[in-house]
Amino acid sequence: MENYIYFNNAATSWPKPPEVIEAMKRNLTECPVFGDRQNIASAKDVVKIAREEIASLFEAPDSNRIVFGSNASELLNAIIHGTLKSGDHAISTYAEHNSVIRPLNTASKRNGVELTYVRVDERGYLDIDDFSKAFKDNTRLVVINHGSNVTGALQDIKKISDIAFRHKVPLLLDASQTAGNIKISLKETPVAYLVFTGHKALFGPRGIGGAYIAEGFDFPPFKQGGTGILSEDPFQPERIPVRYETGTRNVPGIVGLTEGVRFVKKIGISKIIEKKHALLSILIDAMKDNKKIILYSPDDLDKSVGTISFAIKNWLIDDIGYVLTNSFNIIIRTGLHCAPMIHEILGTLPIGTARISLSYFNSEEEVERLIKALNQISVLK
Amino acid sequence: MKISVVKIEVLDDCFKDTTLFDFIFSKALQDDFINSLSSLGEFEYYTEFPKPFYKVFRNGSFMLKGIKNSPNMRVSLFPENKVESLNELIAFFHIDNSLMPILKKE
Repeated sequence: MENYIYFNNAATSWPKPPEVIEAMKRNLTECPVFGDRQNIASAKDVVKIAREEIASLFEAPDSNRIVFGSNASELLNAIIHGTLKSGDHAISTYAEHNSVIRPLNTASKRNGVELTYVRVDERGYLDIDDFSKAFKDNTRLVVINHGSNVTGALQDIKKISDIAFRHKVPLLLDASQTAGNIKISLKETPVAYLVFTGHKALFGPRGIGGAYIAEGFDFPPFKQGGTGILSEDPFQPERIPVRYETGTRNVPGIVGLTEGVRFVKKIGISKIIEKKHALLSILIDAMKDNKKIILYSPDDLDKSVGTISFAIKNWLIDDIGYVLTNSFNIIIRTGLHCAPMIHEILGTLPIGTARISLSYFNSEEEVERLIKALNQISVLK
Repeated sequence: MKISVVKIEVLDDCFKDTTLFDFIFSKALQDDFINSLSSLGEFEYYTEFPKPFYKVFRNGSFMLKGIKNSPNMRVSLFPENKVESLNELIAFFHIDNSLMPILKKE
């Protein structure tokens, strides 16, 4: 395979730390007694270890309330469909991913759940006043995308959480873009539900995600089946976390995620942010200097998860991605990024934007090559 | 040897109304062939890029694009004139009958 420079980390991070690959390889090679509900006396429960690592990353009070699923979408579906019933009202935003929009719209279509999508501004930020005004007597859930996968805008989750708490409405935070990219402390900002995915900034493999479900916010499980415990019970056990973990778990994925989380902790979120901000500053300054480039992302990196959406005047969005990938060997992403509603506000429907998303593993040299490519492309039309 | 389409791969697209294929030719496309595409529509060819990029656009009909030295050509058919555009491309590239079902199905 050719050598590519990879700037599509908001979709899936790459490369993965070597320890992630090693741990998964080890798990797939060794006898499956660890984390697979077996009787071995010396069993180290790798799933329990994973819960503890993740709970400590998010400063969650109870590691048993970390549950695993196949991805963030699955957990978002479980929570949305598990908590909302006919006659309920839910609040969300224009910055959401389809992993939230589609289950919410389905809950509305199937069960008559009432929805309010609060608009965001042209950088992707939620207007807190508009958000406050959206609450009704029957509001039962708030679903917020912590960091936009289109513009990178980070929502002020402290304020949002305070408002939801005042209205006694559970907050479901979609941390797919932020987990591993910024500090998330459930001690400082408690939420009812936090959903994360393993394969982005937590450096795990694809096909593993999870949620933190705070005490007092349980809901009927989405799936029922084998749990490896309480097998005589004809119904799904009430006990957390197995209540939400039906069937054989993706243990190699969980093991890989554990090592990804350990990697994030070893480097430290502040160091990760520092490195990415240094690279992003170089990139954003160069993009601003290029008058052919239209930026859709916030300037203030402290209020951004670091994802940059852009267009180049006179170039089709799809062509920018095609040329960068195929002529320059630089991978970015183009299109709607599965978040169609925010493009209504950006004015980028139906074609979307070109998107650059960095990881800790990107280098200054790679960023300079991207800048050079963008300048070379933009000057031609 | 004459260049011909040997395989057609149907691709998923972000946009529901556009039909997207990759035509895979019997050999990597070179300047002569690429330049001959100019008769099909608005033609752009960026030879300055590390791997030269070409594009042919006909408003309301189709868009073709690809890279020199690659046998792949990306084909987008726009919804307005899908059948006519397809027939024109089939004729232009002399696409073999055995590949037709893939195209017609789309």
